[in-house]
Amino acid sequence: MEVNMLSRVADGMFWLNRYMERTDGMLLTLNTLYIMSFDQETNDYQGYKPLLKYYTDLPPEYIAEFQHDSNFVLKYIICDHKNINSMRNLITKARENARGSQDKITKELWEHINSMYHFINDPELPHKLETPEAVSILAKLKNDFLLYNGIFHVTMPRGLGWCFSSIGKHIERCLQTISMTQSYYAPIEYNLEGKEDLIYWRKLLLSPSGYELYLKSYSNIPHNRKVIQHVIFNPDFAHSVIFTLGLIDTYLDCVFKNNNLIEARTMRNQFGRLKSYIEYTDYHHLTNLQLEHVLKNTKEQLNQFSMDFSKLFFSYT
Amino acid sequence: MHTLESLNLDKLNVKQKQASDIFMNQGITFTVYSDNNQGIERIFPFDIIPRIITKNEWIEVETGIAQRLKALNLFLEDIYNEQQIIEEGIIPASLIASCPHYIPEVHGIKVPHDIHVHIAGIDLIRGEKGEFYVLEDNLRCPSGVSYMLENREITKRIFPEMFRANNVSLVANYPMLFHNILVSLSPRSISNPNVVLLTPGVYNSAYYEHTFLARQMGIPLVEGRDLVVNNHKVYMKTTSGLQQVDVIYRRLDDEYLDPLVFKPDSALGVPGLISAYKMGNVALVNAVGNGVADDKAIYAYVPQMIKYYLNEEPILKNVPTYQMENPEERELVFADMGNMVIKETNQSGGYGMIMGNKATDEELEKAKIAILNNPRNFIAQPIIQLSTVPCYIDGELKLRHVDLRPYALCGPNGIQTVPGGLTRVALTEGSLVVNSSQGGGSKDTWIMK
Repeated sequence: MEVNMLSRVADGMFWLNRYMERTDGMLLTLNTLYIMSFDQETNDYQGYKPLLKYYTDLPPEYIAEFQHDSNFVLKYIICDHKNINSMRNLITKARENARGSQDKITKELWEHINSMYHFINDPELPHKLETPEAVSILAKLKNDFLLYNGIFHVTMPRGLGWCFSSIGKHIERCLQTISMTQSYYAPIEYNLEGKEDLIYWRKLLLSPSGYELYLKSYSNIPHNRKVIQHVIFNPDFAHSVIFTLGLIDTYLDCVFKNNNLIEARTMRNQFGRLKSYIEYTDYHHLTNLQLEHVLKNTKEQLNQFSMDFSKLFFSYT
Repeated sequence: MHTLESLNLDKLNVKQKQASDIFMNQGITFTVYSDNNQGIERIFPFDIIPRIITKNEWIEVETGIAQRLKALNLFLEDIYNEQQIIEEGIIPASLIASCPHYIPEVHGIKVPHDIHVHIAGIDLIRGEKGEFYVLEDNLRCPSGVSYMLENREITKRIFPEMFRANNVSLVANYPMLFHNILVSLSPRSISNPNVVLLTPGVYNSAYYEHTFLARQMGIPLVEGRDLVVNNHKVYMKTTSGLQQVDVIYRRLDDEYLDPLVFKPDSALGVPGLISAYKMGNVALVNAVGNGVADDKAIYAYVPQMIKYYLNEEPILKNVPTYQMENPEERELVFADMGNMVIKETNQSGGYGMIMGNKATDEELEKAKIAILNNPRNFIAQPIIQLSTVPCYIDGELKLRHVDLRPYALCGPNGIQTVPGGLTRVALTEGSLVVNSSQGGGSKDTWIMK
């Protein structure tokens, strides 16, 4: 395996995958909430609020105004250029990072990102989203992301570039899982003994493709504690916090293996503490307050780790 | 032709669309900058009908280019060292001294194997009788080679049967040949020297080409901010610290290379790079200062250079060129502006060019004033009707004017011209301007074996 790569390129690959993972997560959440919004009987008081609250910087009064407005949300999330976190802007940023590291990504991957960029920048897209075509647009975008992940997996060499981009991807995924979990637990005050039904939890579970695995792995009500067990502590669920931290750990090993920087050991320990914090949390006896703290602290520590990681490897200017 | 004849218009339309989609999806684009500095990303128009050049025609081109480059390399070695060509009165000293691309900072430099031009793109046109003329030598950072390679790949995909049925010379080994030359220039005698491609960055109009070549040669694509000079050695900043760089294939013009020597406000270059280069700790490809040899005013002297350095008659002719510094030649041009093309000596890419037969009287008057104000800055050439080839445009086969840019590589083992090239097409009917920045397109070029 190559022992080093340009810091700028490593930075580009890290952010390429972070942006793509964020866009993918946002799309899956949007798609779930959009499809569920057709069902009038679910008494959905939150609507698109979890999506708008985490993925946009809209003020609370705007969120309250638009949280049930599919037409607005679809356009704002997918193609509004004024929304810095719209899919259009995120894919554009991802493409810029891909361009900057084009000699380290495969031709197949570049071509796919490029075709996604052209699709999302189609001037007709906002208009089409106002029509029933919106469903097929969401389906196409979902398929594009599946294809992106597939192409990445099948064509990219397992060198340092792979490690840096995978770390970026899983940091982003972990942060999304924590944030969306907070979005559904905060309104019920992190009540682990509550009796929220499966319809309530479906939205949280469907977005990261965790619903079926949840049904197979857990049975009987109540769900509140089991959902936490699933999204945070289930090592078999590809979007769980414990799973994503485990993968980051693996890729950090590769990055640090041939690296003699003194700061590398400190960083390794920093991440080890973060991972152990989750690993050794006793979720069977977790209290409501402890859950809130675990989610908040993990998110803060992961953000801090991401910043320190960037400073160590990507500070090329 | 048999394959083309067997295809109806619908099929050709499908193939044209197929080719455009491939270009679009691959991001094979270039950026055009307008006066307000707004960059627009465009696809380089591609004509699906390949241009064919026979074996005998190619032999003339190949030997002519090799001869020309040999002389140009000797000229550069001479002009940055002894300057015998000036002493012998072949080229006026004033012409060199007034050339903005002559770089006195590298005078006396010894480059590896005495090679200054490692990669050259020589623009050729054909006259009325089919004879080749050299229109321009590109000896600094010639671009377009990625289009030559991609055009071939696309042609193979859209006309597999036609390609298979013909005996076309291979161009795909260009990156390997070039990479071998780059490795051979390393100042350190190590088995695996660090070779990098230096790009101005993602906003450069030829960025696609830079990434393409870096990928094809398996070398890192670096920007100026990725490099640092320490103790007259160049290093790249990597995730595990600094790593020494041995050879830089730079796609950055001389004046942006080192803010300590050239433009102080350039953020694209590397402070201290020229000092490392002069100390022989890093090789730059192409060498610094080559612009003096492809200056449009110096161009007129290339036939004399060939005679002086090689004692040979030029195989490829120059287009007759009038120096605007020479009062007699200037008057001659002013009397016949309608049949002349006026070019600024320090411009390229079709910029700073006036076609006398298309310009208005007002534009011609303005050009005259500009020439009189700074005659060294201009040359004039008679308008030559470029040859035409069939192109598939708007659902029909039409004739369009073309030029040809073959790419030649110079290394310690000699000069090799890749059997192919970039055929540039003036897509507008009657137009003679083929530059991509001026709406030109390209097509694959087949050299028959």
